[in-house]
Amino acid sequence: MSGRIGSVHIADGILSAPVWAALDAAAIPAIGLAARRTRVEHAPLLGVMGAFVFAAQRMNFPAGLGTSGHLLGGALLAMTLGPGAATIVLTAILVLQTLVFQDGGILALGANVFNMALIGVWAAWIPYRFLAQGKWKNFGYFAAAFLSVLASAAAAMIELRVSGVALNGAVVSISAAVFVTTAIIEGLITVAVMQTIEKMNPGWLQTPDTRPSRAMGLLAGAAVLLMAVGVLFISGAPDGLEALVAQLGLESREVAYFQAPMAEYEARIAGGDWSRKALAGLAGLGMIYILCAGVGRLLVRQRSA
Amino acid sequence: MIIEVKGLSYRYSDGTDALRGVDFRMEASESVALFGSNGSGKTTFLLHVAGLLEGEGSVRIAGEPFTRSSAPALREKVGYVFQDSDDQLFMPTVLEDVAFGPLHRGMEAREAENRALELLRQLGISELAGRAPYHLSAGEKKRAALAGVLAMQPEILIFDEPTTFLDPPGQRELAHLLLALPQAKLIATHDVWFARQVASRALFFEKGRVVADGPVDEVAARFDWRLH
Amino acid sequence: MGPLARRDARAKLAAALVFLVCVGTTPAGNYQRMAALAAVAIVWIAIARAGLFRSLFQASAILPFPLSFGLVSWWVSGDPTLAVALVVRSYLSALVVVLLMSTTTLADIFRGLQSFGAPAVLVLVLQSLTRYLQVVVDQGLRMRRASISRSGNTGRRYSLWRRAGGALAVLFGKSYGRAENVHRAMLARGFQGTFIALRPHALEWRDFALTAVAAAMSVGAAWR
Repeated sequence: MSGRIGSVHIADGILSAPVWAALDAAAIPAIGLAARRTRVEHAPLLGVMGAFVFAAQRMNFPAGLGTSGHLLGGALLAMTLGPGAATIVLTAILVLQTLVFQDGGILALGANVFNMALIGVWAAWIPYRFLAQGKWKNFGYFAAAFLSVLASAAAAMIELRVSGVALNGAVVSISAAVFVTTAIIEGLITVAVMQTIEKMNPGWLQTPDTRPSRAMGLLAGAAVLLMAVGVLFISGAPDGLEALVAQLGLESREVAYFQAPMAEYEARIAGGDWSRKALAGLAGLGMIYILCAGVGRLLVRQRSA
Repeated sequence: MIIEVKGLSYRYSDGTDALRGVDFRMEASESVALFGSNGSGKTTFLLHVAGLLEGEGSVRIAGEPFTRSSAPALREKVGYVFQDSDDQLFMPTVLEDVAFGPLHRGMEAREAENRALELLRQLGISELAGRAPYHLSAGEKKRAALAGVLAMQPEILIFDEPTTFLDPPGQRELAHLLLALPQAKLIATHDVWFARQVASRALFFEKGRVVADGPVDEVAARFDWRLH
Repeated sequence: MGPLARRDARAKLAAALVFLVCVGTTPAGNYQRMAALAAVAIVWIAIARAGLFRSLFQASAILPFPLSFGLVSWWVSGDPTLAVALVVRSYLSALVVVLLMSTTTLADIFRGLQSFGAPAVLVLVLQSLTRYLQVVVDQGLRMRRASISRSGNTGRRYSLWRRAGGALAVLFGKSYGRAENVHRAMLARGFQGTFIALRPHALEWRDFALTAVAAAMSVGAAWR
C-alpha cells in the first residue's frame, strides 16, 4: 500500500470466501460486457493509456506537510476514454499490479476490479456526463475524481467489514479522513490535468450525448456521495450491518454471506457449510447477472433498431 | 509511375493545415529524399502515401487510387519505417513482431515464423528473435522494425527520419543496408550526407507545399540545408 | 532454468488457482491447514529451484496490507485469531504468485489467460500496456527532469501544481500520439480488426500431470 494510501488494493487472504467469490462472479461478466463494447483496434490506445497511468503515479504533487500525492487516474480515464474503455484499462492495470508488483490478490481481483474499474469508473462518469459542458466543467472534473476515489474506498471498506474484519467508529473515521484527503488531491490533480488536455485537443475528451444539466449532475453527484458516506458509516458503526439488515427485514445471521435473499436456492452440495453458502451465493449472483445482461442487450438492440 | 500524388491537402483535427496541394510523381527505380523543417508536412505526406491518413486529393500506388476498399491491399505494397521504432515494435518479442505482418496477411503460423526468422538472419539480427523490443539498442530496434516491414515484401519503402536515434557508425550501416534494398524509397531526413548516400532526387517541403524538386545537392544547396 | 519454467502457462495458472482457493477458504484459527499449505508452497519453490529466500522476501511486499487490517481487527475485537489468518493467508497467496511469476513470462501468462477465455481485447490491452509501460514511464521521468532543470522544484504550491498538471497533460498527449502511431503501424502491416497470434501451442501430458499433482497436493493439505 506504500505510496498509494487511500486506494485500497485488497490482497488475497483478506476477504472471506463468499465475498471474493461473489465479487469475482460479478466482475467477470461485467468485464465481458465492457470488452464486447470495446473495439479491438482501440487496444493499442488503451494499453498505452494504461502505461500513462503507471507513469503518472510516479509523478508526485506536493500536498503539504512534507507529504505528496499522485494521480490514481480512474476518473481521468473515464472522462477521456469513456466508461467501458476505462473499465478495461483499469482491469489491465490491476492485473499487472497483482502479478508483477504484489499489489492486490488474484482471487481478490474481482473485488478490486469491482471497486476501482466498475464503481470507481461509474461514480465518476455519472456526474460527469451531466456536467461535461458549460461553466461547471471544472467542478465536474473535480466531482468525478473525488467521488471515484471515495466510492472505491467505501466499497473496499464494506467488503472488509462483511468479511469479518472488525472495524469501529474510530478506525473508520480515521480511514475516512485519509480517503477524503486522497479524494481531494485526486480531484485537484485531475482538474489541473484536464484543463490542459482540453486546451491541447478537445477531441481527447469524451462528450456524452446526454443533455448537460447542472441539476442532474449535482443530484447524481450527491447520490453517489451519500451512498459512499453511508456505506462508510455502516462499515464502522457497531453492528451497523446487522441493524441495516434488521431494518430491511432480513435474517441478520445470513447477511455475512451476502446471499440472504438466495437462501431458498441453497442446493445441498457436498462440502462444508461455507462452500454450500458460497455456491448458493454464486448461483444467485450468476442469475442476477444473466438477467442484467439480457435486459442490457435488449436495451442496446432497441436503441440501435 | 509507382507513386502519383495530385493536389493533396490535409488539415489535422486541431486546425493545422499540414498539406496544401502537393503534387508528386515517382518511378519504381527512384529513391527520393524529403527535406524540410519540423512541421513542414513531410510526415503527413508520407502517411498519405502509405494509406494511413486520408486527405483531399488523390494518391495512386502503381496506378491504383487509395479508396476504402483498396486501402488494405495497397498498404501491403508500401512498407513504412516509423521515426520512433518503439511505435512500430508493438509485440512482446522481436520474432512475434516480424511475423505480425505475414500472419495478418493470412499466412500460416509456421510459414510466417520461418519468414520472420529468415529476415532476421538476412539483417544479421537472428540472436534478437526471442528478445523484448524494449531492451534493444536504437540500431537493433531500427533493424528489427525494418525486418517487420520487409516481411510484407513491399514494393515501396518509406523511412521517416531513420537516423534520428542512431550514432554515426549506425547511420553508415543503415545507409549500406538501404542501398542494398531494391525497392523504391522515400526518405524524410535532415541529414544531407545520408540523403546523398541513399537517394538521387530530393524534395523540399515548406508549410505544407513542395517548394523544390531536383538533385539532392542542388536542393540542399538552394536552401542552405547543411551543417557545414 | 528450473523444470517449472518449461511447463505451459495454463498448467501453472490452473495449479496456482487451486492453491489460492485452498488458502482463500482456510478458516481463521485452522493452523494445521495453514501449516500444511505452507509446506506445499515451499515444496514447489524447491522443485522450481526458484530460490527460497528470494521468494520469501519478494512475497513479503504484500504484508503491510494484511498487517494493518489485521492489527485494526485485533485492536477492535480483542481477538488475534483473524489477524493471524489474514497475514498467513495473504502471505501464502503472495508466495505462490511470486513462484508463478518467477517461472513464467508475462507474455505466456497473457496467452494463457486468453485460452482460458479472457476477452481478446483485454489480452491485447495487457500486451500493449506491458510493452509500453517502461517506454512511457521513462518518457515521463525525462519530462519531469527537464521541467525541474528549467524552473526548479520550488515556487508557490499553486504554480507547482499547475506545472505538474501541465506536464502530465503533455505526457497524456504524447501517449495519445504514440498510440495513434502504434495503430498505424498495425494497419500498415495488414491488421484489419482481428488479432492473430503466432503459436497456438498444444498442451503436453507433463502439463496435465503438473496441474493434477499440484492440485492434489493443495487439496490434500486443505483436507482436514
